[in-house]
Amino acid sequence: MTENVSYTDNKDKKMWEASLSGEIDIFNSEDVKTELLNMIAQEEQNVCIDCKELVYIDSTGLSALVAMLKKVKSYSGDVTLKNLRPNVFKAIKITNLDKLFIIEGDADE
Amino acid sequence: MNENTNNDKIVLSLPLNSAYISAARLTASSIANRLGFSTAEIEDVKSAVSEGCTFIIKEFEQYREELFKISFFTGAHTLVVNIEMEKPIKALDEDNICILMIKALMDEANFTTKNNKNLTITMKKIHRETELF
Repeated sequence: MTENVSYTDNKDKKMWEASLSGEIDIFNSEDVKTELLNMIAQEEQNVCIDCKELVYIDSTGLSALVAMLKKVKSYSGDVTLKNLRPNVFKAIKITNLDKLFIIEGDADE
Repeated sequence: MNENTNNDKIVLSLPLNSAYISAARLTASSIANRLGFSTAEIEDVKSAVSEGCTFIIKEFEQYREELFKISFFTGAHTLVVNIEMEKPIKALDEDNICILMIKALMDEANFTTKNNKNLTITMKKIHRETELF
């Protein structure tokens, strides 16, 4: 368990509604990855992650998201990231991950 | 009080332990803020320093007991950061995601090794943006 990830199963939308918070870096990214992979292992469905409270993410945190994305894509699902702060959006943009995830919400810079 | 912050050197010495990367980020953002960098510029510096530390920690993980050094050099409109580890390094992978991110976030970035015996990551950020309120 990590306090940086929380999620609920939206049964109506058949979607995992997750949220990330705080700072995700090499110190805790492995825990975040484990938590996200455990989530989708319970039910193979689309994922929507609210990043409103995500203050910082580094390359290892992005790798955790990509590991989950690969699994979700393997069952033809999608991962949406919403309410990205400008710095988080920039990290996603410069690594070209904005082409792999569906981006919704702010990300205004 | 408005002390001059040009031409100062601030040095941080950290163990190769990921628990202390947040200390490097805090120091980087604090110094960039003191130099008057914009919020976006501060975030760039903070992220680049963090990626540099991540790269060093991953690359030298067998030297867990050792320290690596982060030096900040302040200028009128610039901040130069050196991250150094004095241990032998294998060939540098320029396609590493940490290196790519540092290059994208900073105005200049260089990765040098002396006879494969140490690694210095040098990065420079120039203050250009003015905060709009």
